[in-house]
Amino acid sequence: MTTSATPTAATQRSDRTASPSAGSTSPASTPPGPAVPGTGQALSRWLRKAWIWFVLAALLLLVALPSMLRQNPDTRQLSPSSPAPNGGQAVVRVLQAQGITVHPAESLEEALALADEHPQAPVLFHDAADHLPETGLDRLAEEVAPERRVLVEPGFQALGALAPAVSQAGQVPDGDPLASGEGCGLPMGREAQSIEASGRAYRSAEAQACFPVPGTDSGSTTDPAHAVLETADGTVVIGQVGVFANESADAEGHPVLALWSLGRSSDVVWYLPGLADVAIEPGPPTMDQLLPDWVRPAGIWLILCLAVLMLWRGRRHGPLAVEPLPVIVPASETAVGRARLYERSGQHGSAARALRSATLLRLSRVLRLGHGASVEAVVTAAARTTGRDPLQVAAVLDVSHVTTARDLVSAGRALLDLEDAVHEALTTDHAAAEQSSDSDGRTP
Amino acid sequence: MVFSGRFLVVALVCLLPVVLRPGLDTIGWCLLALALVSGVDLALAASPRSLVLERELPASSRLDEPVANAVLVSNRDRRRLRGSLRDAWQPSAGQVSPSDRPDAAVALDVPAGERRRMVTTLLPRRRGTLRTASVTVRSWGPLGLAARQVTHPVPGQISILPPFHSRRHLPSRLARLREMDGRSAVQTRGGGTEFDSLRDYVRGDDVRSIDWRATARRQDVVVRTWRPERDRRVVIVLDTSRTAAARVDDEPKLDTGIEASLLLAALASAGGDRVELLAFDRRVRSRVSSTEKGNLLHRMVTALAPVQPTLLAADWSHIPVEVAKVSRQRSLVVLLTDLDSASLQEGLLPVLPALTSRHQVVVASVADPQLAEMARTRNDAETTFRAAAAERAGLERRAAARELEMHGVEVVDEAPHRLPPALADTYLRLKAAGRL
Repeated sequence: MTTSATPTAATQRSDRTASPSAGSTSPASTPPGPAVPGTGQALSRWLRKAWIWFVLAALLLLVALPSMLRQNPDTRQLSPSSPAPNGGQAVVRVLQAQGITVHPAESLEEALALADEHPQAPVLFHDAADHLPETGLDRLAEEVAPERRVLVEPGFQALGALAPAVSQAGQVPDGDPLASGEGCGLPMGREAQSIEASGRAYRSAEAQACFPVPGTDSGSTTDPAHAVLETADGTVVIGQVGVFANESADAEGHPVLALWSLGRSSDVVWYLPGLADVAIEPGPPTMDQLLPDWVRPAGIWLILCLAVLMLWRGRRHGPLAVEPLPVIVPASETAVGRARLYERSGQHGSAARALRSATLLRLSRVLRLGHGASVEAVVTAAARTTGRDPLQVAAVLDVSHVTTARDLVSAGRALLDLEDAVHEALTTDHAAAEQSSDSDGRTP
Repeated sequence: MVFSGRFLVVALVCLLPVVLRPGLDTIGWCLLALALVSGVDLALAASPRSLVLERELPASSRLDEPVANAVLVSNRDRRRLRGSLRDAWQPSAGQVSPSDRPDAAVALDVPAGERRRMVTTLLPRRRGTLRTASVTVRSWGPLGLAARQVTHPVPGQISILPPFHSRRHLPSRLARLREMDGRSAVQTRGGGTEFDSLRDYVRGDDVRSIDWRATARRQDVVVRTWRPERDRRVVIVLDTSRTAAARVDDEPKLDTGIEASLLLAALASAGGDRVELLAFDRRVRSRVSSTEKGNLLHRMVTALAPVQPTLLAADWSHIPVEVAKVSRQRSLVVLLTDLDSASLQEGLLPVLPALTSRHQVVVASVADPQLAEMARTRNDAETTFRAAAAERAGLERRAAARELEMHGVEVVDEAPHRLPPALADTYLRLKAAGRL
């Protein structure tokens, strides 16, 4: 690199005049400033240009932030925080208004801990999806005394573990509200008087049962099905989830049932088994478990390093330079195109004639026969020059028989050979050829 | 912002804490450290915005000659600027930097308040106007991790003139011209038709040139000498239409035509003739006359430098008018065009009588050596068909040339490197024969 240093700005003027300038840039009287704005100026310009995007982003954030901050609403059935029609918020609020604290539990561990903490509190158990496996039900049965259990629409397994004396009796057919019935021995049942007809029915030989399902007491061998039961050891089974759900909490005698069953203590454990209780089969160990725990962060970091590598290698030193490309036309393009046309249409004869005409023209010029020389004259002269048989030369120059590609190639080669032979004869025996042509008087 | 390989190394070193103490928080801390280090480096780098850039560039240069492209870099910042500089010349300018980097960037190191002259070499590959729009400066921080990059709009352009390779043919042709002129020792009759002077007979002179009347007045035998006519007109018409765009021997036919017209113009102006040049397709692209002031060749190369072939067919009907404009008397009209039969039939032939009736016309055309090569390759069916097509094209050219010759036109049809001297020889022949 050629660099010529100039020490200070003060000597710039003299340097400029001394440097062998080609005179393309005229030195101005005042030193010119930079061609680009300064850093601060550029920043403010950029801000001025991009402010609308900032405003849009702020607006978007303003709109999206509250919904992002709001937690995902709990939409499970009987969820104590859900205001949806199937949620349990209404009953929970009423209980709280009565000074009863509701302790929601999401998992078995939580529920057991809460039940242990509040030994008198009834435990509401509702597991419509059968999340809690049998082992969990057994633990629940062990830890929570029977008189504290309030089962809402329990399934087969839940009944077997938590209320073994009660068995299922199918669905309650839709219809008129169920009445508490004459044989109802439960005070809350009698007080409630009626409930909506839906949910499940249960039967038990030794339990206090209310709200018989009409049409199930005809048989003598089986007990009639009921919607609400209380076993001998105090477990309450309510076959109607609507008793606690928001949409029907105030219907019929539902409030009575809800408050009487849960309002026995100052606390309620509200246990709705969730996905956390589902026992997952411990399958074969995954890749994650087998690999050391630093592999994943190291992989993330290497991806970041890859991005740095791309930034390093991919950054251009300034914008691309534009090249105005010229028109490029290969000169022999038309000839090649015409050759393809000949070939495609099988014009072997006309191709051979073109080769022959060109050869004849060149031979007549090389042999100095003039412009309008006849074919015979060329044949005779060529035969004499090369010493070949005139008939053979005439045969070479006769291309009327060419009909195939093979004929064409051999004819083309023969013509080329003839030309080369004539050239060779003329150059090697130049003097003799000159002499002979002179003596023939064919020189134009 | 630009990152260096050193930054990548630092990032890879950060892999160590990530492995030793796995966790997303470690990654976060490492990222923060990298951002901090590069940010500090950037903040300490000299501002590339505070540079003042000036160009030192000749206005024109001949093709194939290296050009020194200098950029003066003045650092107005208080910090020393270390980095690199790239001048965004278009690729056909063939910019080469001393560092041999593919983007022709040069390393830059300018102390605060000083100025440096950065030089790259341009090896232009194409005739015409070459341009650069901007100069991009990179300024690295003291750690060499990150750099600031700014593009300064400093446009520059240089006119690349035709090379005039054929000037090596000029001395021999000028010698022939002097022979005709009677200035050199060899005196031959027929070196022109214009009476020059009388002189004493020396042995070897043509007896036919003895002036008997002058001899009778003096005791010695006196001969007449002739010289070629002077102050004739040579009108060169350069066809810049689509036929001139075809490339023969990796050179557009137009460039070959420019070479030929330069040689002819140099020769004709040395021979005392007036030269007019027209570059023409559908309208006159460029016009040069030897009657104006200044060096004819320099004006010609300057005028022809930006002329490029257009994708239009030439409109020959204007040519007689244009020729009549520049020259009323009988002139030598040289048409540098193509012997393509189609364009000849449609364009030139109809207007040819208007030219030949008043002027001597020469048509010079670039022959394609590749066609001759093609015509001799006959290995299989495909190449033989190609040979036939090439022969057919050659026959058609010859037929077109014959047709032109029947109109009294001289035809010069030669390969690119042969065309300029052949055209010069034709000029000399016509001049010697007094047909100008």
